[in-house]
Amino acid sequence: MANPNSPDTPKDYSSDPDVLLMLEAQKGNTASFEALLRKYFSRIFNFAYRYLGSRESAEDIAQETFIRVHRSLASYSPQSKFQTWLYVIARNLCLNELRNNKNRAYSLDGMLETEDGEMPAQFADHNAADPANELVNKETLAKLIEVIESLPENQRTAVLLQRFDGLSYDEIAKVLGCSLQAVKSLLNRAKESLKDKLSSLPE
Amino acid sequence: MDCQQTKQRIPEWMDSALSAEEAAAVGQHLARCSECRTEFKTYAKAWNTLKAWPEAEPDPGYVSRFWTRLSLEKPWYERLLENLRPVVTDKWFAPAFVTVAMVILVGSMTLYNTSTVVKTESVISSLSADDIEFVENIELAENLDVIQNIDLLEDLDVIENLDEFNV
Ligand SMILES: [Zn+2]
Repeated sequence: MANPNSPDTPKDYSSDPDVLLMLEAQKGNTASFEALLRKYFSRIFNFAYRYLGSRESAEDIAQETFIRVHRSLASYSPQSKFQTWLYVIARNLCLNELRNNKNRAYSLDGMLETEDGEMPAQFADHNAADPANELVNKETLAKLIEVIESLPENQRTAVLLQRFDGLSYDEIAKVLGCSLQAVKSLLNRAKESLKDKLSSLPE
Repeated sequence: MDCQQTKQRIPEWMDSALSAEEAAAVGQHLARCSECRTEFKTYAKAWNTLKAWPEAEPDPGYVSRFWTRLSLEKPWYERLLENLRPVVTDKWFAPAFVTVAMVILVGSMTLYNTSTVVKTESVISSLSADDIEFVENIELAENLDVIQNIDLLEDLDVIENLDEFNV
């Protein structure tokens, strides 16, 4: 199968502007590091929030992800796109959190608390192409949470990265440490589950 | 491409992850098979519902919280150096700063040692019973310095532990 991002092609990651910012940060340029922080913090936060369902944990994981990145500055040498590496760190932290809090209920605390059935304004979807998608009713969100929680961890990660963070199959394979074929299979199974569980929802 | 092959490929087709030929074959099959089109629509609905999951905003101030957290993770001497950095890293000032610091350090140590030796010699030369007690008091006074230094170290520990509570 043809894939523009064949994993076997050696790459020069210096064409990735984020890698260039990292290399600048490595030389002590604080503004470059802060640019990466501002660009990615919210994405990592949302990834962790959807993954774990806890706002507090998500903030903590997003912070810790960038602490780890900063700690690695001295030894940093680009082996992938910057964002791929960032998600590897974030996913590992989420996985640890999941293992350490096996009994903690997946709650998405605060997400379901409005009374009119609409999402609070702060949850406006910046990525939604269709303005009608900007508000999701309680029932739908509760179902989404339930469905994501029910997915095996690697399917959950693959779906979140593919659907919300726009990572290519190749990047997802790198984050999960598996083959491209395995990612396809994970996503197919995840979509099958989603299809079964979400198709009953009203339009 | 038959129905089974088509249905298998619908998820990848939706992500544009198929080769051009396969994508075309799936598209052609969907155009003429209503059963597979229904399957596709069900997938698409679920996939779009997921995509409607809204973004959350992190609490504002995450940038400054990050720098605070980072600074608290460093050992105290690195934090001290960081505060001195604007002064110390000045191109011309740095060598001068180090030289002056060394001169002050060596000078004060020499003076301290000299004065201690002079004191000790004069005390020893006129030892009496009262003076022995006096000598012990000097030792006590010196121990006080040690005690104060221990307090200082403990304060530093508290500062280091702050990040466990703070973040
Ligand atoms: Zn068919």
